[in-house]
Amino acid sequence: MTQFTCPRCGAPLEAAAGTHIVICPNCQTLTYIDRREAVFFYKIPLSVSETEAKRIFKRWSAGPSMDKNLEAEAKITRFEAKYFPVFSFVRKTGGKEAYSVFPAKNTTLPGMHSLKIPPGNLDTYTGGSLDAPILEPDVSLESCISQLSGDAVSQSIVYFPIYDVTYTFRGESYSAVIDAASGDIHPGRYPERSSGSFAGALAAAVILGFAGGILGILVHPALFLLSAAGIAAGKLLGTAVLHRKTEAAK
Amino acid sequence: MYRMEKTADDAKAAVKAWMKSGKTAKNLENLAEFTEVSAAYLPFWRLIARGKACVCGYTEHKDSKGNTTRYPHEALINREYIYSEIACDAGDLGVRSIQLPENARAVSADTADLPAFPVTVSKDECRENGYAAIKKQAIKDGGGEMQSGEIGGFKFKYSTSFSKQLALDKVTFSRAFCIPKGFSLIYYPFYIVRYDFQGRSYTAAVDGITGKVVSGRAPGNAGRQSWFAGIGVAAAGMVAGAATASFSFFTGEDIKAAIAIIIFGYVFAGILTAIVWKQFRDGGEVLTGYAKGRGISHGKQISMVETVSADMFDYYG
Repeated sequence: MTQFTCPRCGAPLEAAAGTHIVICPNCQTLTYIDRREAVFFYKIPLSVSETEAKRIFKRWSAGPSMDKNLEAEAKITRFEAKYFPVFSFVRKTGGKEAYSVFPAKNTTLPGMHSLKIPPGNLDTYTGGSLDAPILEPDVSLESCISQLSGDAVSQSIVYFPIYDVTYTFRGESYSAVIDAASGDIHPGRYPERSSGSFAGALAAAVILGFAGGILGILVHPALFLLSAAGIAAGKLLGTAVLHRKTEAAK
Repeated sequence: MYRMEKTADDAKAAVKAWMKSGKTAKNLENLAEFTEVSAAYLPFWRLIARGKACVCGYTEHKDSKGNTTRYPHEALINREYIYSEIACDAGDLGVRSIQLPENARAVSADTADLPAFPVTVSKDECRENGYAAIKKQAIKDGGGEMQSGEIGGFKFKYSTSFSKQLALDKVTFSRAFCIPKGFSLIYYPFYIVRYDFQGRSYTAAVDGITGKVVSGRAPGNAGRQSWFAGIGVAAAGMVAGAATASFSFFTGEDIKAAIAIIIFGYVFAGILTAIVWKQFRDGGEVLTGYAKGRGISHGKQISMVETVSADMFDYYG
């Protein structure tokens, strides 16, 4: 890790993200930091608690795209907070600034390959333990730099907090990652809900409505009541389609 | 950096009012439990520029004999625009851009002392996005081309133009220029509000100056969804059925009128079914702003491009 000391008094210096000038807290000397060669270490604080993250997972599992019973039947088998490392590069190419992010650890976790640094305060990381285990980088910085063009402006390793979640649903295992800074969820593969049952409920209502419309005119106005039956059928079937298993039922 | 004008209590009140929309779960405003209200200053790249565009094209009109006449048009657009784009990943916050209200007060502050998120999006990339968006908007304001759309199998044409003067059927030439006047990084205040409902956690972002909910997600109203399924689709079926039955009342030359009624009935039924389908299938979650995921939208999205001065220097011919 890059260590900075004041060139005048030797006191340790901390460089906040994006700054080039640091004032020594001891002797007030201004020091200019050339970020092109140094690698800075930052962390984003874990601001979503485990309880909150579990509720976020529960909310996500109740979404319209998920299997109807996922919320009630999903069984969480792992829910671990971790700090995941990424390399963040700022380069100048053709006079233009470009930001790039690479995972600094080989991983199969969902969402970690289309990374962006999540929103949160960037704190200087000075080593030592954090409030969750730190995943150490196993990808070399040079291998990422070799993929980049242009001149370096700054480069850093950012540890950001995630919850690594594994859950089972109807005998199958799935994984997801929850960004513990903003609460965003990267679900990977998940049990989806087909639209068939929704279409079925609507089909019943539309057929009865159609029959009411056509027979009410051609046969007898009383048959318009079939359309009213369509409303009732749509409402009842719609309610059945939308009904979810509750925790108690589980 | 802009000064926070609202308090955490104002933010909670705004979220409660937002929860009262009929689209959200019944009684949500009373059952939801606020778990966190935190202030956050989000960075935005903001470009102020003059957008100029020259748009040429024509509109087409058909007379009763089926002859088509083309009327040529020209528009010269000269407007001032503001483009804003969030300068960090918005994560689950669902905020993409801002519009500075009149009462926004700029203050000088050190971002290290405030919960301000760092910039992780390139300014050059945002500036180029801004140039492109402003040019596109200027052309659109000059008489955007008619676009084809389809809802539930029903095909239609609509104009992308916001101007009342022109809605061109065909644009034959267009060129736009963007003359930048200012480009800056600003920090804008928000309240991030988290609340629980039935053991699930939801988030909303409240503008710290206007106090409006700019993004958020909320549980949907299942009762509303099922009523939509019943009333909407049965009504669509009935209209289609009645239109079909009306065929029996027409004979001879009136057959054209019968066909027109049937087409109208089916088009109406198709549009209604498409609307109902969206509300029924995706109504389990209500999304405001640019919140990610599947759901039905509620409220306005803040546009990336804002027009400051419109029409004053425009020419339409």
